Amino acid sequence: MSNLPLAISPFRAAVEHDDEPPVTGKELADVTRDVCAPLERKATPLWWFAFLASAAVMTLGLVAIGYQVSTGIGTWGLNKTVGWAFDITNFVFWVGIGHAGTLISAVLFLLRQKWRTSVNRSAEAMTLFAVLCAAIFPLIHMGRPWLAFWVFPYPNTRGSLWVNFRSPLLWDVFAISVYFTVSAVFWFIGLMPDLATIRDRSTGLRQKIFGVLSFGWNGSLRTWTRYEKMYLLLAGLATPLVLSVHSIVSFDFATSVLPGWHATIFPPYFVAGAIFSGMSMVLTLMIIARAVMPALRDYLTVNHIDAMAKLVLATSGMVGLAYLTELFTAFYSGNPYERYAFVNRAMGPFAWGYWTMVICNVALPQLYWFRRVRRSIVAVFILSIFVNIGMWFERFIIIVTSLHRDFLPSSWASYTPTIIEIATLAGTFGLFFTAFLLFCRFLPMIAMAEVKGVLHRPEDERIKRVVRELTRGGYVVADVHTPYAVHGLEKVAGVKPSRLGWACAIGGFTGAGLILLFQSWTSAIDWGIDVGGKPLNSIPAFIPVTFEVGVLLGAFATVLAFLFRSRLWPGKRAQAGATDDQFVVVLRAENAAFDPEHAEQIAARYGVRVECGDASRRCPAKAATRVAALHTEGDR
Amino acid sequence: MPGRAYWMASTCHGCPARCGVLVKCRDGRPIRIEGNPEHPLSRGGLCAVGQASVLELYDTLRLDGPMLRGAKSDWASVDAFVREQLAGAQRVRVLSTTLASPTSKRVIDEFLARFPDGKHVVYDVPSASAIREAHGGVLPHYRFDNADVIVSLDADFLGTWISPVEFTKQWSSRRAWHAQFEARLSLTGSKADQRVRLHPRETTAVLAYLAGATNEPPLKPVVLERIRKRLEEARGRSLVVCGSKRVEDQLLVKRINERNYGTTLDLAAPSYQREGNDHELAQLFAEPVDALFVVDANPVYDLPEFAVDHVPLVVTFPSHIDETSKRAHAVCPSPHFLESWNDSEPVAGVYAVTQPAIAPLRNTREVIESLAAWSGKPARAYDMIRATGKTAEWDKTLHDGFAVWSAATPVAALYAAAEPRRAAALPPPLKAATGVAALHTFTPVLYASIAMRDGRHAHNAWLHELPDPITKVTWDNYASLSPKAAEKLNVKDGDVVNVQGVELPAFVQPGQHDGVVAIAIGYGRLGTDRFAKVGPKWLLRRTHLTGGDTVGRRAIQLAKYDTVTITKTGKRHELATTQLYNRVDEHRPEPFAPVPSPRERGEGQGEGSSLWPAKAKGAHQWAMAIDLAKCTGCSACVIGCQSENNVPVVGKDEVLREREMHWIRIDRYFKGEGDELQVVHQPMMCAHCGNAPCETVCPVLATVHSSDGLNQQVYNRCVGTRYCANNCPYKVRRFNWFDYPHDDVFANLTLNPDVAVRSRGVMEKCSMCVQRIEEARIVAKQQGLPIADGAIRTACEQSCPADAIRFGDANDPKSRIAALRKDERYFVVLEELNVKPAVGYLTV
Repeated sequence: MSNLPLAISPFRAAVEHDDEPPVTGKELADVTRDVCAPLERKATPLWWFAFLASAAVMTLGLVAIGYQVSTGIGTWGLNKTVGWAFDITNFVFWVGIGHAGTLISAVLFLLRQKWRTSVNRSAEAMTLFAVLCAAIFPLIHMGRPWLAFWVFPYPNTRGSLWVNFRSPLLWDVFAISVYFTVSAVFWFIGLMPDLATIRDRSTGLRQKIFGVLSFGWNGSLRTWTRYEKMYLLLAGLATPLVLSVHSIVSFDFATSVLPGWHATIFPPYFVAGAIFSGMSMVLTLMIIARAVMPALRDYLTVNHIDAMAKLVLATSGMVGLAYLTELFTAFYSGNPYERYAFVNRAMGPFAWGYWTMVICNVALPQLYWFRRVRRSIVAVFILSIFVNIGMWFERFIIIVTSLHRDFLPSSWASYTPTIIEIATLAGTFGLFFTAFLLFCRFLPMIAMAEVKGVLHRPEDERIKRVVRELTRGGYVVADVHTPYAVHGLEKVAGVKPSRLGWACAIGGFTGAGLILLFQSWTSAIDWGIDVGGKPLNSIPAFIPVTFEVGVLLGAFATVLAFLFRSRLWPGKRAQAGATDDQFVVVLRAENAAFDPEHAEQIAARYGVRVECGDASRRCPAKAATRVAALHTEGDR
Repeated sequence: MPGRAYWMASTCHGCPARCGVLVKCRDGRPIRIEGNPEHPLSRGGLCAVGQASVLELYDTLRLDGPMLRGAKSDWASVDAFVREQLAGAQRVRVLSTTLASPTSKRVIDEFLARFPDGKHVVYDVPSASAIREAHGGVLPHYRFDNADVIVSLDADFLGTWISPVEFTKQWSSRRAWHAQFEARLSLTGSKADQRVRLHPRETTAVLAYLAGATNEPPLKPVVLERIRKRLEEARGRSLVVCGSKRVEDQLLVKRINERNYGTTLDLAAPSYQREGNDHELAQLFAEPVDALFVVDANPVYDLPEFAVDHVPLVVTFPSHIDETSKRAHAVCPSPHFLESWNDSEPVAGVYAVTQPAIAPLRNTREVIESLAAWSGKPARAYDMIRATGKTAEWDKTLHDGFAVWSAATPVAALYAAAEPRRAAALPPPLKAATGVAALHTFTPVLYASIAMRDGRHAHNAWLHELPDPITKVTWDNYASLSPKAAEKLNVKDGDVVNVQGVELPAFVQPGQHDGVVAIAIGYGRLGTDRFAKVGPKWLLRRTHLTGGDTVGRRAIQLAKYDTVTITKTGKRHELATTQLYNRVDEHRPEPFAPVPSPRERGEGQGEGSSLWPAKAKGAHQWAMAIDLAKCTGCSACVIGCQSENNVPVVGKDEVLREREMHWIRIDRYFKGEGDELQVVHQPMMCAHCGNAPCETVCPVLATVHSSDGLNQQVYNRCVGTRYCANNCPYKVRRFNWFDYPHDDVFANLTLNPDVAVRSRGVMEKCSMCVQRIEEARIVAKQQGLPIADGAIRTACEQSCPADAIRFGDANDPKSRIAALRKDERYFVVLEELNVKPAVGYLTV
């Protein structure tokens, strides 16, 4: 059976239900209230217990890292033959986990999967925390982590001695830092409307903090239009980025000479594995969040879990295919070292790990073929934990079994982790959950503005009609403030499409071009060094960094252009707008025919109450405008 | 001159073989010992023990000043005490191991002459007394370089027997057909063309057959017939050597060698490298003595049984408090050979001088000065050596390190003179033992190990951490058992067994006779608990030594037994092995079966195809070739490299974690089992690949390629990702998991100032002694001449007793290395990876 239909099926299944909103029976205000509730009440004892437990485990990890950095890498179980084991296993594991967020935000966004709106915020947060956990390992796995900044190509007094742009580890540096940065920007941009919602609901310190963070967001239609464009562009950038990151991580192995590592299948295999493990981790967290915060059950429904389980099933198939392909390649290659690497995996001293991996990653997820399993919270929870165990072992098996018995039997050795390494791994879980719990406590866990957008509320049409009628009536609609992006409203209101695409293209191509020239200049012109017998100007080796920097600058250019054009900056005082369940139409009093009462009548035709009285308070900056606020309360 | 090295010729006192050495000094202190290429016996070779002995010079635990009755004292008091005790002494004995020093022997004789019954008793461990006895009291000087056929019975002549460096030089220059009969797998056995497992009890029967005393082969008729035929064919150009301690056996050996005297055995210029006399030693036990002077020996430890408590005066001259000195009345520490005057005559006609390279670091006095003082004729060692008058050209001898003249005694006369017991009836051949010995009963085979020899270097951490060439075990001795015997006893590596009262970890050794247990002597020395301090201190460090404990166990007392019983104790004692997998199969064929040469494969001149444009090469392309047919695995290169390149000692716990730091390791592969066991030793160091996989992956350019073909490791740029080591197909890179300071800070004085000491967290590896290349480059530049072939010798190459390692410039078509690279036996390991290594091998 071909793998492809499997991969597509969950999307198709979701597409069939396109007209049916993923969340039903909720008013706009319900969404705001439900999502903001955990932030606005005191922390529950359960939260405190979980937080303190996670923080304690994190502290344990910090102590382990502190001891290791002060004493030496020798405190790990590595040896002359096995130079990487727990460290890089954990790194790849966490990077893999970190793929789900961007996948849900970007790839599913491009695929128009509406169900993503309930999970994307926490999945993105999870991505950031997972990448943070991942980034610890390349840092502390260094023999001299205090010199880690040497991996950055900065002008220095050593020549300048640059860095080796041919090293996959350097590609990692760029891939991981770009991925983290772009994911963080993406996450923050997504948060902006929700931060404004909270700002407008709160008082005191919280209002101040969220006021600074929300950049003066007020739900203006022009901003929404650009925002939607920017979101699309970032999703477009993040999609190849997310694929590139795990491809580059897989290059660490694929470009080496070791049997079991040196394989062209690695990039797709790793990406599929990353999505597989990332989705499972999202499932784990979602199910816990549902259990702890019952109000969220209406937003994280069984349908969501079902859809994600389908994705897990699809990627499990891909991973299983990769395992079989590896075995076949080893057999068919006729290369005794390659063959032995796989015989050793399946039958050697780490066979238990290999079969754990196969059972957890290929055998158990087959249960997801059954709808009953996919829709059973308990079954999905257990299976998602198994998948994460299996995926951790996959990385462990790839790294350790390839190293511990490579070419020359004289150097074969074994590997056992020390308690220091185990404590470090535990510590990253502590960090991950600590960060996640803080996130649940202080930030909206569900993207309110996005969920509101897929509720298919009657307000969507109503506001469009009001704006259309007002325009027909000769009124100039200066702006419309909405709590979420109402699709099609920009056409009705005559807002021109955004030109952010140009900013993105210019930034991306400039970044890519400059870094390519920079790599050639440092490697071939400024200080050419013979590395591995390769030509000084090794263009193919420069591609990964070129791509990553291109994405970074493209994303930066897009976001900066958006903020500049929309006049948003940190700490900007917000003007009146709409961030909860209200809509505001701003009419411009351009001529004498401007009649607020007439406008009120037009609005009333659609069962909407119009307020005109406090125009100056709402819009002090625009003296010439009159404001009409469309309350939707009466329509319940 | 500060910062510039100078060399002094001297003689090694690591064992009685007395190889010629050159001592490298920097800023007034010796930092390295190398073989003296002009020396007539060792010819530039120097074993691991000799090269390691520089470390002992800087040992802070060496005795500082004399001791009297266990308390610190001064020389005047000691002199007064000894003189007083000697007044009226009748029977005075000097007990020593082989001294091979004319002056020492003369001074001892003069000292003893004052007493009515004074005798100098010499012993060796292991003893060669039977050979001397069979030759009328002289030891023939063996000439393996004249032999076409060599048959050795339990004589490890390439490893530890009499003069291994000299013998290895001779052997490798000719590479004669060689058969080895032995009970355990020795270094020599690992190089044999025909190896036969032989129970010690069967030695006489085999010798009798080879000597023609019987025509009934006691075992393996086909093999023995072939060996006898070969010996007959090579009559006059063959050599049979035997390690047996029975005179009867040695007489048989002599009979087989009869026609070889004058070619492969030299009696005209006999050897003084073993002077022990077991009869005199036995007599020493038999009669009471008034005073015992122990020179260069430690009989309480060395001999199965030796009691000194009843002797009224015991004087020792040790470097450390040893087992004998603990019971001595006066302890008169003697200096290290690098800080003393001495002389030797290892072989008649070869006179060698030992000169100090540094003023004594401790309050010590040379043995002969002490004896002279007590004789009432105090003299300086230098003057006494001059007075011996063995050389007319003193300055030249001192400069060269040796003087040579030829003895002109006719061989026939010597042979006749050396034949007192020739007519003695041959003993009846012993019946060959049949089958495996009875359950749990084994014959003990006690042997001197490559690193520890008789135990006199037990305070040397380099030697303790040197992997045994055969077993690859460090920091321990063990009870070696054949796989069958181990199965019978149901023991695995590291299971502690009780061998007749000695508790030792078992070690399963292929190629060993099923009826013997082989144990290295030289372990279990007093004071070796000092090594508890070796290695990094951290949370999960396991201690393998406690105060009062010893590294390994003393085993010489088992020499008393013909057979020992072995019982399993149920305890475990992990053995720190540097190579865990020993077998080759299709997975690793090269060392045994040469890969077809590039020409045979039709691939042009060995330059594999490449996707990349050829890179511009520098003026030189440094390269190395190692002849696996010559390499015996003796590990001299490992210590040579350790000494030259400041390689740290990491301790047993770290070796157990597979983290030894040696830049050269000698891979040892086994194929087959029992008599069919084949062994290959393959030294592996950084191959300096032209397309080095390690270089590509380093993110910070800490390992890069030089224009002259070296793979350079830049320590101060390394951040320690270990990616390079992972991607090294040869696994020759070593990582500094911790800081590895010397356990004895004073030992820092052995560090080579030309090589950086690496800190924690950086990768290191063989640099092909880049400091030596640069030195030669500077010299050549100053002289305006090109670097001559052979002007640069890496530390491993320099002292290789087998001349198996060759370094040179592959760009120079006339160089030795260029010729070797065209040899049909030349191959590179893992050629199919196309990494283009600069280090290649010649197949066995």
